[in-house]
Order: sequence, then C-alpha cells, then structure tokens
Amino acid sequence: MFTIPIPVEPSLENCMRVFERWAAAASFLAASCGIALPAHAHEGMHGHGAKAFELGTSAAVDREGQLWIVEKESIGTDQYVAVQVSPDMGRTWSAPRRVQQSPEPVSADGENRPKIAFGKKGEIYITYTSPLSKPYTGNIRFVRSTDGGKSFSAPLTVHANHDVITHRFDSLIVDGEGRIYVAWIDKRDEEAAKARKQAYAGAAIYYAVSDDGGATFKGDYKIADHSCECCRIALALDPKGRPVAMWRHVFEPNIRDHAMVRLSPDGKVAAPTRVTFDNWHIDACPHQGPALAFGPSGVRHQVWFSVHGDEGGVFYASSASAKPMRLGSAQAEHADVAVHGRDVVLAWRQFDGKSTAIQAKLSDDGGRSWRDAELARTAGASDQPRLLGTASGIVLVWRTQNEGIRTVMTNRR
Amino acid sequence: MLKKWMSAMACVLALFALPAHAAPALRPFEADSMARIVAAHKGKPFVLVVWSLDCEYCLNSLDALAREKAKGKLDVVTLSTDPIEDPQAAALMRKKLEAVGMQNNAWAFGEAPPEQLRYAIDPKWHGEMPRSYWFDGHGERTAHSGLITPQMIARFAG
Repeated sequence: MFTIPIPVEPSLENCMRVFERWAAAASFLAASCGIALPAHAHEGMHGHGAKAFELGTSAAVDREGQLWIVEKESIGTDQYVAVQVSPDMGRTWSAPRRVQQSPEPVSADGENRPKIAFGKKGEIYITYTSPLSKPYTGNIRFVRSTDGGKSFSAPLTVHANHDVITHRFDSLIVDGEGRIYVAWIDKRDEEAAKARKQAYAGAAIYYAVSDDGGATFKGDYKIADHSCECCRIALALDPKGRPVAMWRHVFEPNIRDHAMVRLSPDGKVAAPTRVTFDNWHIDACPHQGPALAFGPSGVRHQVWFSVHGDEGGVFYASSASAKPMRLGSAQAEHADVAVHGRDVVLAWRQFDGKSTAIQAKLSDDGGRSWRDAELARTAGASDQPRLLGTASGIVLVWRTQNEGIRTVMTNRR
Repeated sequence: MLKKWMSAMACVLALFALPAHAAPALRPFEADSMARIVAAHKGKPFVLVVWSLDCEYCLNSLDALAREKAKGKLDVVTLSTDPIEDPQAAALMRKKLEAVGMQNNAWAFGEAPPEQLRYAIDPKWHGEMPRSYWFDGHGERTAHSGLITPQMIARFAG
C-alpha cells in the first residue's frame, strides 16, 4: 500500500515537505483514479517509466539557484544521457533534454551514474561512463554546454588510453579556478601486470584535468595503484577550492579501507593518506564508495561503509572528532555528506524489511551535536541519496521509482 | 492408474511445449524465492552463491565452484543481483553460466526492489560480493563474503 512520507520531527516541517507530501498524495490519488495531473503538480512525473536498475541520477545547483539533474534515458535499446532543470528546487521541471546527438550505452545503476557540474561562467559539464562490449570495460565521456543547456558539444573521451579495458566509475568536480577534474577507476596497470603474469591487487585510479573549459583534457595522471574495483570515488573541494579525492583502497595484504589525497592541476600527487581503519580484510566487491565534504574552516567530514567482523554498517568521522560514529542500522548504506556554513547533514538509505527510508543526522554546529530525522521514504526501488549545499541550505535529492525525483530541504529554520 | 498415466502425459506435453532450443531459463528471484530454494533442497547440502557481472571475484568464484561441481560433488544454486529485466545483462549472465556449465538452478534479481531481495536473502548482508551460503543437510547455513577458493569448498562442503 502507498504510504505518504511523514517527517519524524515536526520542527523540520517546511514548505518543501508540505509540497512533497501533497504531491505524493496527489499522484497516488491520480494514479488510483487514472487521472493525468499537469506536470507542475506531479513532482515525479518525469521519473516514471525508468527501470529500477537505471535510477542512477546526479544533481547540482547552478549559479542562478536552478536545480539540475542528469540521468539515463532509454528509448527501446537506444540509450542517452538527459538533463532536466527546475527553477524552484524540484517543484516544476523542464522536459528531459538529451545531451548526445546519437545513442550510446550509459551506466546508471548502483555506484555508476552520470555527473553534472558548472563552470565559472555557467558552463554545464557532464561526464558519464559508456560501457563497451566486454564485461567491466568502458570509456569516460564528457560533454559541455556553453549556452545554458540549449546545445551540447559532441562527447569526447576524457582519457588518452583507449584500450578496451575498465575506465569506469567517473567522478567530476570543478575547482575554485574553474578547472575541470575527472577521476575514474582504470585497469591498465592490472592488464599490464597480467600480461607479465604478475599479480596486481585491485585496480588503479587516474584523473585528467581541463583548463580550457572542457575543450581538451590533460592526463592521464595516476592517483594511486590498488584501489577497489567497484566503488565510486568521492571528490570534494577543500576551503581553498582545491579538489581532494577519497576512495576505497586495497591496503596490504588485502584490506579495503579508504585513502585520500589532494589532486593538483599538473598531475603531481602526493602519497595518499589512509583515512579509515576498519581492517576489512576481504576479496570481494563492496559496491559502496565513500563521500567527503569540507567545512569552511577546513574540517573534513567523511562517511563510508565498512564491515567489522560480522557487523557491517555506515560510519561518519570528522577530522575534529576522535572516534567514528555508526549511522543507522545494519541495513544502512550509500551515505552522503554535505556542509553549508555551520550546517552538516549526513544522509543514508535504510531498508526496514518493508520500505526504504532516507535517514539523516543534522547538525547546526559544525558536527558537534546531532539530531536524527527521516527525510523521505518509498515502498519501491530507489537511487542512492544525494545531498547538495544550496544558498538556502542543504537539500536531499533522491530518485525513487514510484515517485520520481524528490527534493527535501533538510535544515531550513 | 489413469491418474498416474495422465500426469505422465502432462509431463510429456509440458516438455513438448518448450521451444526446441530453449536454454534452461534464468529464473526471476523475488521476495519468496529464498524460502522456495531452501525448501527444494530440504535434507540436502548445497551452496547458494550470490554474484554479479560487475564483480570479478564472483566470476573466479563461479569457475572454482564449476570445477567442483563437474566432479559431481557439489550442488550449486546461483543467484545474480543483476536485473533479469535488463536483456543485455540477462544475455551476459546466461553466457557466463553456460560457459561454466551452471545454467541449471540459476536465478537473477526480479522485479522487487533490490534492497528487499537482499533483505530476503539475509538482513545481515550488505551487498558485498561474492556472498555465499553453505547449507548443510540439516537446514543450518554458514555465510561467507569473498572469493570462493577450492580450499574453502573443501572446508565447507568436503
């Protein structure tokens, strides 16, 4: 049966929530009665029809405060990347607009999804992984728009290496100077080791940089050997506007904890720092990457998934706190973190045996104290939660199969 | 007697109803499938291996299981978390399973939300793969996350 999400804390009540509940109720009634609602009254209309296995969506807010999402669009066997824009934080949406002229395979499930970011002059940058014919192979593709999304450049492949191997799990960020950084998981070193009949733990991560607004990329710069093969890479800007990467690494002998390093525009990268210490010793694919954000004073906030003995879960730590904090139940997964001034929000997905909720911890003192909140819930399949810092606060963007794109303002006071 | 003959006839008819070249079907795994798999193996030891196309350790694990299975010692049920609804994924799954001779008793995630299916398998499992469940003949199971090696197979099922 359809359930209407009800916030656990009345103090979080705000117009976005009221709208969300109203829209959910309206869409339920409409669905029950076979009524087609006008698009502006139906928050999830554009999200309908997407298959459960391709809900992978990213979101970002542009300089004008418009919310953009980037998603996969499938028409029969043809696949595209499409964008939609909302001028009012998810209340109304433009029609989906394809970014490619011709179809090509697009990854948009689990840890894979297209990415979107903006340049200093409002340029729109998009990356995605296009899988190739062999299992786990792919190319990282990039398109841009310099006219506000009216037209898009032809896709280019970001990496100089064009072998039919793994170049997947792209991450995208624009630094304080407007340079574009794209990082990805790459198996060229593993392939080379295999050819030499040598063992190679995990994959490697590489990146490329564009300092001409995405016309060309320089790379391929190696960040580290021996990353995990199947987890998203977190990218965040430090307070000086420099990109920092965090990823699941394979430490000797086979421990899948996390590493972190700052990326430079010229490809010079220091030795990574280990930033989680769970000693998860496993030959497996966790399929759960970390998330990272920096506070204005440089405090680092990180969330990650790990297993301690038989007990797995999602954890949070900051560079200002002594001990990691466990988030939610054993079912907690795919956490995100965002910082906006003194506000810090941690959100994760949690299934309770019947339905899936986005649970959150909210702080308005930089992570010193927390209160719990349930931000949204769905009875069907869903994407991972994304948190965005906007001018008016931190917003959850969550795509669900039943309701489409949902936006929830987390900490408006 | 007549009843027995009719049921035998029904079986024959059912066989003819299959297309001539039908590969054993990949079956959709739904929230109640776990209980059905366990019930179908009542009293018999078996291993359920949960895998995905994206997971290289899984493919190596399937290879190791296939070698033991070929010796006729091991009853293996495979379950892929890739969606059966995705024709491309389904084709790749069939290809892998056929290559290792494991197309019988093969399942893939069905229509229900993946988190619901994961929960139905094991509320304590977080989606890392390969994940294997080693059932003894008495309904007890041991869970294992990670690569399946010949040594492991000998330990659990030897």
